[in-house]
Amino acid sequence: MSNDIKPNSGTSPENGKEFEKSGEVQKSTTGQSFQDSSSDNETGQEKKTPDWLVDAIPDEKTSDNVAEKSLMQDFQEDVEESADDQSDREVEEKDLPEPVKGEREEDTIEVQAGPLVGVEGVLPVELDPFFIHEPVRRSIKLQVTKTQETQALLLDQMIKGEIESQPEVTQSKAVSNNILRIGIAIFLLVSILLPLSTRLPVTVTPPVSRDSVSANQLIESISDGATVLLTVDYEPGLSAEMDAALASVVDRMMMKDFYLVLVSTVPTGPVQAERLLVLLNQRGGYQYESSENYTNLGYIPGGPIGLLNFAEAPRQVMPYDLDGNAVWYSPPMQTISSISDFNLVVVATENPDRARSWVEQVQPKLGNTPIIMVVSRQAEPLVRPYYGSEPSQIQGLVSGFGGGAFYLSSNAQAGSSSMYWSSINLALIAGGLLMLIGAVMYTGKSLITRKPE
Amino acid sequence: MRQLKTSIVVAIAVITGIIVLVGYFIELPVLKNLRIMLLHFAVILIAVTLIVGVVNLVQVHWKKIQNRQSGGVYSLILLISLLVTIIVVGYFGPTSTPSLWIFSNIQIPIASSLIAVLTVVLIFTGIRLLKRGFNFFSLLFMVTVLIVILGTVSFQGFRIPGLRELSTWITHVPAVGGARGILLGVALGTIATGMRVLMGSDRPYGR
Amino acid sequence: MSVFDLNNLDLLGAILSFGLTLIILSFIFGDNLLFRFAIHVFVGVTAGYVAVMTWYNVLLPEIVVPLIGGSQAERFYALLVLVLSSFLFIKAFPRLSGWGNPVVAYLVGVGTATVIGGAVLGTLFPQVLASINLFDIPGLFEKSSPVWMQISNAVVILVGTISVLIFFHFGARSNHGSHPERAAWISAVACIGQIFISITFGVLFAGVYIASMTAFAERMTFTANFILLLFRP
Repeated sequence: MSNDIKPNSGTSPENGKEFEKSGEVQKSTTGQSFQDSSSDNETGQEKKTPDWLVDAIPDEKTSDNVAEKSLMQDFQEDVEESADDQSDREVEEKDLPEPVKGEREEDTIEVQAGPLVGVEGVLPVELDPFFIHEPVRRSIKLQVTKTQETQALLLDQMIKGEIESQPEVTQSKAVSNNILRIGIAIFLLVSILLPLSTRLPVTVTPPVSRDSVSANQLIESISDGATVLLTVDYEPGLSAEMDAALASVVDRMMMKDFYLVLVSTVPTGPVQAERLLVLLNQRGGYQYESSENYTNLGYIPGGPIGLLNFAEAPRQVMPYDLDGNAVWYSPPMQTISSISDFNLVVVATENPDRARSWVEQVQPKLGNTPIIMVVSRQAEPLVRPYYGSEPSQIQGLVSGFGGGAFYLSSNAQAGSSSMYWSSINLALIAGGLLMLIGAVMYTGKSLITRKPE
Repeated sequence: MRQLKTSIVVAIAVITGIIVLVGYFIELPVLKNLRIMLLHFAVILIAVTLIVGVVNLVQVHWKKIQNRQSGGVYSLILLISLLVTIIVVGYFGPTSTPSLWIFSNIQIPIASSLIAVLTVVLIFTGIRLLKRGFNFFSLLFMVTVLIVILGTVSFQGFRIPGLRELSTWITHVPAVGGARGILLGVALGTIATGMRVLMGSDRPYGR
Repeated sequence: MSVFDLNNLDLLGAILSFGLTLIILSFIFGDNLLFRFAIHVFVGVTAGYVAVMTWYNVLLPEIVVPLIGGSQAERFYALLVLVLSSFLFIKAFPRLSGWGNPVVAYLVGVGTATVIGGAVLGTLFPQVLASINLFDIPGLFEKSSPVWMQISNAVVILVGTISVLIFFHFGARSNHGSHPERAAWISAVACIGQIFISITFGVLFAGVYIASMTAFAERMTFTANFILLLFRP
C-alpha cells in the first residue's frame, strides 16, 4: 500500500495539491527526517501536530462522492506519471544486483505523508497501470426475449410440479381400482371356464391362414430326412402360445423324419427345446432321441454378435453338443460345414428384436436355404415387413396360437384343442367387450362434460 | 498418461469395430479369419460377463443377509434356489429329467402366471385409456385394437361380415407400412449412434 | 385319469405348479409375502440356469478343456481369453475398474459394428428395396389378387413408411425469435405418420393382449384341470 496515498488526503483542494506532490516520484533523500520525526514522537509526545497532518485531516463536511471522485482523479494522474517515468529509465535492469533489481534510485521516493514521512528509499507501490481504470459497467439484467421468458417460466413450473409432493391417491380411488381389477379377473375366469364346464365347443377353430399354408407347403417341399436348424428362442412366459405354434411345425417335420439341430440364444432355450421334443414324443408317438434324430447344441451367448459368429463359423462356435459330444464329425452333421448347408432354418421367438437379429445377421448368409419364423402374436407386426417383402427375407410365417391351431385340428388332439380354443376365444371377447364398454363410457363422459363449454 | 490410456481404449474400440464392419462389405480370407476370431473372443467374454452378473447377484443378496436388512429372508430364498438349481442342473445336465422337472414345474408356471397377470393389467389399461379425454389418435388406436381382437375370434354360427377381412387388411397393409417405417427409423438410429461410437465421439466404455 | 395315477414326482410337480400359479395370480389382489417369495425363487432358478448353461456351453469347452488337454495354440488362445476375462472381473472392484475398460471397449466396438452391419444389410437396404418392389408391375400380374387392389395396398404401405419416418424427424428452424417449429409440410406429413403409428401400435397392443390371454387361459385351464383331478375317484 502506498504510503503517500491516504484515503482522506484528497478531500479538499489543498489536500489534493498536497497529494499531487506526494504522487511525484522524487529522488530519495535520507531517511533522517523519518527517524527524526520518530524520535521526536518518542520523546516529545506533547509536540504540536505537524502542519502536514493538520492539512491531511479530512474535512468532515465534504461528501463521500466528492472524495471518491477526487481519489479516482488522483489515481489516474498517478498512473499517467508512472507510465511516463518508466520510459525514462536509463539503468539496465540486468546490471543491478538481484535483491534490488526491481528498485532504482528514481523509483524510490521520499515519503511526504503518513507514518513513514521523511523515510527515503521506499519503493512506491504503484498499481499496474493496466488495472487502474474504471471498471467496465455491465448490465446485471439478463437479456432474454419474450419467448425465452415464457419458456423459462414453463420449465420452472414443470420443475416445481416435480418437486412438489403429489397428493396421495385417496383410499376410495385405490379401492375402486382394486375392485375393477378383481372384477376383470373374475369375468375372464368365468369366460374361460364356461366352455370347459359345459363341454360345448362354442367357437370353431380359426380358419387356415395363408401364411400357415405357405409354411406347410415349404416343409412339404423339402425331402424326407433333411437336416434342419431349429432355434427355440422364446422365454418360458409365453410357452403356452409358442409351444402350440411351434409344436405344429415340429410335428410336421418329425413326420418327415427331419434331423433337428437345436440351438438357442436364450439361456433357457435348450431346456425349452428338449421339453418340447419330450412332449411331442409323448403326444405324437414319435421316438426322437438325442444324437439319433436330433442334436442339442445349446446356448449361444452374445445376441447379434453370437448369431453372426455362428452364421460365419457354426462348427467353431458350437463344437460340442450339451452332452459334450463332438457331433460335427458324425452323420448327418458331417455334411454341414456352413449355415447355408442346412435344408431349412426354423426360428421360434416371441421377441421381435431377436427375430430381427436372426434376419439381419443370419439370413444374408443362408443363400438359398429358406427360413420360417414361428412368432408370437405380439411380435408378428414387426416381423411381417420381412415376410411380405420382395425379395422376401422370410419364406414362411406362423404366428401365435391361431397359426398352430390349423395343425392341432388335423390330428388326434382335435377335441381338446377345440375346448382350449373356445376358452381363449371367449376370454378374448370378454376382455374386448370390457375395453369397448370403457371406451364408450369415457368417451360419452368427455362429450357430455365438453358440451356446456 | 491418462490421455494416453484413453486414446488406447478408444483405438481398441474403433479398430476392432472397423475390422468387423468392413468384413460385412469386403470378402477377404484374411479379414474373414480375423473377424471370426474377434467375434469368437467377444462371445466368450460376453459369457464371462453373464457369470460376473450372477456373482454380483450373489454378492448383493449375501450382503443383505449378513447385514440383516429387511427382505433378507427373500434373499436367502433366492440364494437357496440358485444353489439348488446349479447343483441339480449342473450335476445331472441341462437336458436331464431333473432339470426338465425344475423347468416345467417352477419356471413355466411362474413365468406364465406373470404373463397372465399382465392380461388383467392390459384390460384395465384398455378400459381407462380414454378416461383423460380422447383425441382422434387414441380413438383410432382403440378401434384398431377392437377390430383386430374381434377379427381373431370365431364363433360357431355367428360371424360379422367383413370383420375378419378388415382385420386381416389392417394387419397386412397399414400396420406393415407403419412397422416398416419404424424398422427403418430404428436402423437409421442404430447406424447414427453406432457411427458415433466407431468415430470415438461416444465412449460408453469409460475413460 | 385321477391323482392316484400319477407317480410321486409328477404329483409333487403338479402340486408345486398349482401352488405357484395361485401365488402369482394373487398379485391381482395386491402385493403379498407369498408373491415375493415366488418371485425370488424364480429369479434364483433363472440365474442358476444362466450360470450352468454358460458354463456348459462356453466356459468349459472354450477355456477349461483347451487349457487342460488342448494343443499349444489352443492353450495360448484359452490363456489369452482367461487373461481378458480376469480384466472383466476386475471391473467389479471400483478402484481397479479402469483396467477393465480396454476389454469393455473391445466388446463395444465389436457389438457396435455388428449391429451397424446388420442394420444396413439386413434392414435398411432390403426394406427400401421391398418398398420399391411393391410397384413391380410385371410381378403384380402374377399374383392372384386384382392389380388395382395390389397397387392401392402398395400406395398405402409406401405412404405409411415415408410418413412414419418423417414423423420421427424433429429438426426445426428458429424463426426470428419465435418458437422453433417444423416446416408446415413436414408437420402435415407427420400427422399422417401419426395415424399409421396409431394403427401399428393398436395391432401391437392387440397382439400382446392375445398372447397374454393365451397364457392366462392356459394357466386357468391347468388350475381347473388339477382341481378336477383331485376330486376325481
